[in-house]
Amino acid sequence: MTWKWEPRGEPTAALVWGVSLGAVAFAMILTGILFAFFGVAPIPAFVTIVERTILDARGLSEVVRRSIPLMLAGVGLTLAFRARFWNIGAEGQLLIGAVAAAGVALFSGLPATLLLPTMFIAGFLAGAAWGLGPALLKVRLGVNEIITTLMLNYVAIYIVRWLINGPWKGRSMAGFAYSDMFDPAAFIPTLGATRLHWPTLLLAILAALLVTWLLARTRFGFEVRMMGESPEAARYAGVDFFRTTLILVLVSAGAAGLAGVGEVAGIHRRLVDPGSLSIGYGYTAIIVALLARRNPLAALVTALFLGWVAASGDVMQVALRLPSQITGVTQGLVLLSVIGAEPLLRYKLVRVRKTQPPTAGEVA
Amino acid sequence: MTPSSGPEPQPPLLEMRGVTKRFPNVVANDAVDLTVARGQVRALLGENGAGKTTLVHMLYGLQAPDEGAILLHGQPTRFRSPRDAKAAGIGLVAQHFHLARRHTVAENLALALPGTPALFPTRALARPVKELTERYGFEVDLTARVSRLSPGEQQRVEILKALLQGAELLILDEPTSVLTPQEAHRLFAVLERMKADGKGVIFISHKLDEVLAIADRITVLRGGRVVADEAAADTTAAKLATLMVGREVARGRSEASREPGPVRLAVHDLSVHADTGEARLKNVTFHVRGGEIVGVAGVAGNGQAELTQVLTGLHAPSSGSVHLDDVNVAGASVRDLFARGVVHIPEDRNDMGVVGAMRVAENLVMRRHREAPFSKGRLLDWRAVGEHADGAIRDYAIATSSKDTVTRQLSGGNVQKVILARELGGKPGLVVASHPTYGLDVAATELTHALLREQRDRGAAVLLVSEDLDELLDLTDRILVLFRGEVTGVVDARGASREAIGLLMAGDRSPLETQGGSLTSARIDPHDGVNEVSA
Ligand SMILES: Nc1ncnc2c1ncn2[C@@H]1O[C@H](COP(=O)(O)OP(=O)(O)O)[C@@H](O)[C@H]1O
Ligand SMILES: [Mg+2]
Repeated sequence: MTWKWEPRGEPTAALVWGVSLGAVAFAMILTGILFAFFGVAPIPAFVTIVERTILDARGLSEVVRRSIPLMLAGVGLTLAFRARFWNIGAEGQLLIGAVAAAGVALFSGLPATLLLPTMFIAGFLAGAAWGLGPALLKVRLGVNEIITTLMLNYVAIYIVRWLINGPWKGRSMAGFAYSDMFDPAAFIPTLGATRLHWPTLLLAILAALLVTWLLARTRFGFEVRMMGESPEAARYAGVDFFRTTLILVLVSAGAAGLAGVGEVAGIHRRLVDPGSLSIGYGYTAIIVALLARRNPLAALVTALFLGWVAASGDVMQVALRLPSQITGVTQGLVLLSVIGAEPLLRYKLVRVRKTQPPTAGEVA
Repeated sequence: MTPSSGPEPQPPLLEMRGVTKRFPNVVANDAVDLTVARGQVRALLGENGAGKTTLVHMLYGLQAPDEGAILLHGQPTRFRSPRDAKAAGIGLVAQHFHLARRHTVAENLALALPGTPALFPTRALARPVKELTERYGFEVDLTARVSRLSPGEQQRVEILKALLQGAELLILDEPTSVLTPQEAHRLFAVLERMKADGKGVIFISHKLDEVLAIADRITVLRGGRVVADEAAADTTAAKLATLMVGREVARGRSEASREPGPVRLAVHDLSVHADTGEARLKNVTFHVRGGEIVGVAGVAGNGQAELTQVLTGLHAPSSGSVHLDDVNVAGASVRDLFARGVVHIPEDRNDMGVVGAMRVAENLVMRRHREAPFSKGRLLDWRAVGEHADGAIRDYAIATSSKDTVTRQLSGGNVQKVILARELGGKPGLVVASHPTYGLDVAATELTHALLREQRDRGAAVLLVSEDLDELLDLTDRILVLFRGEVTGVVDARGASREAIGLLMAGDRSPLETQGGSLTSARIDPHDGVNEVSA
């Protein structure tokens, strides 16, 4: 009697959910073990975290507001990943979106009613433009988009740094590297005294619905799925790779740009250091999209989960005195478990009886 | 069944007893018994999917049997890997070659040999290679790069490799599928000498005449089971065909119901280059009329793939014209050509013909999804897609649990039905079919043939690329033969001889010269061809 792996048919939805939740639970257990290494008892630690994030109104608002940029960028990535355009550049697209919104807020002089809408449009277009180069390089010259999108993140980081230390450095900010504070008309309204900038949250939900609709109902979405599942078949079906890739990257990168608008105008209200503007939301959004198995509606849920991980990081630092890097470690563990659990969707462990003759060596 | 049933006086070279191999959806081998004696050629005959390759993979250590025993020289044996099998004297020439294409023949041979020195690895080879090639009567150029060799030459390298490794039992998996009929005869001569040397051979094929020509004993597999084990001398092609398929097979031509119409496709002076700049098609000229099936014959890799790609818009020609109903469409896009009524049954049905991860209903519209009623503006009408799927599944008897099943779960024959339903359902003007029956069972093959004939009879022009000469002879009106990207001849399929087409496939135009280009020598029935071959 031995065990062996056997391929299974198409995974059911229940199996996908089960495996995903199992992977997340596994990552949480590993995180708990990590707590123990820091001399923090895991169970009480998790109780504290849950108390201060989920059971506390203010804590809950922090979870949701952390998940807003993850939702927007993550939903965009689900579309790109459906076509197997591996956009690793949401971080840079988010930052450039924030820069564009800050530019409009600081310098446009638009009337108050037009200001916020223009900032969102500018952020979307700027993010989209940041994705355009890699998209063109890929469809025209076959340059790997993983590398180009990733490298553009650093360009975006340094553009923000340069702006806040140079041309856009605020007059009122003395020695600090910030831009001036925006006019209050450029603030995204928040829910009560929290930092939950709800219009951006609505936008994120709309984006998820829109991408779902694009994929399910439109010819464009059908062709995106064909391109992602089988490029050969897409060519045979006459899909215009150039046009389709361009559109999907613009939508995907534009959504990340919107996330940047939300952060800069909903939280900071001025252009700040890239490290404060985004705590790696663009990278975490990759986990959001993959954990959601490239389903835009599911990305709303996984964004909430990773938003919770980020908000828990704050609690861990303050209440449990754990190092700030613990958030990144937890995120990494989630990603590894999810990827590691992938084979469980395609293979099952079965028991086999062996009735085989001995090997030649054993007989001779 | 027990291995200790007493040593026989002279145990056979190989004996397989009750070997069973199961895959998730299919029993590929079901209690198979097979013996090979020294100096014997054992043919393994069966349709595509009968389990021939699986059986020999177990002999070669590539797969482990679920049940049963393998005895070599009467000793129970189990191979964990091809290394074990080679050490035990088993050689395999696989259906797809395993050669390092960028390296020379000598380097490939050195790589395969144990104990090759690290420096100047090819030096020690010259002598053993010379011995072997002289003994078995075939030449190979040791200094040639494998990528420059024809499939037939590559096959000789594979055989040489196995012999150098000391094979006593040589397995050839569908060796003739890459050969012209003449090359096949040369291979048979080599096998005869190996027989005389006391080696055992397992020869896999689904072609009856070949099997009767070369084998001593024939095992027929059907659906993973042995349905016959007979001496070649005691059987006939008709009997084998019935055994192989499980019922009597109707064969023969069915002529078009009416005369061909006007020329629909006219290709003139067409040349195509690969991305590397290599010429793949050179000045190809031919035409196809409506109501006519034109076949394209040739050994794999002589430009057939490029021809279908250019005609369907997947590859741009470098020069020449392609007229479709008097409009030059050379270089037009896939979408444009499809809109003009050019449909394509692609060679690679699983990766190109369908999107395996998408639902059957989606695959049934995938090239037509821009047309009404499937598209309304930029939106898809899923209800129309679903209704169309219901109709197609019914009309083409596609075996699927539902129209929403993921297409990769379908069997090969049903995947092909999805493609046929989609491509032929829209009244095409030109049908380009590439190896449409490769790997299909008999029922699906017959359906495919019937559908192509139906297209012919309703006036479509049909271009059929196939490696199966019988298929071409039965189905087509004329046959275009390609060799190294050039048309070596166009012959009338009525009365064409396999041998003549074989010569043309090898680039030898003499049949055209001796017969004034008409090539109307009495057609040899494929079943009578047996006499030809063994004579
Ligand atoms: N690795 C595999 N996994 C699942 N099914 C397989 C595998 N290899 C072969 N099969 C199935 O086993 C059957 C026999 O295949 P094969 O031995 O390749 O047939 P043949 O060589 O006679 O054409 C087919 O139905 C095929 O689909
Ligand atoms: Mg096979």
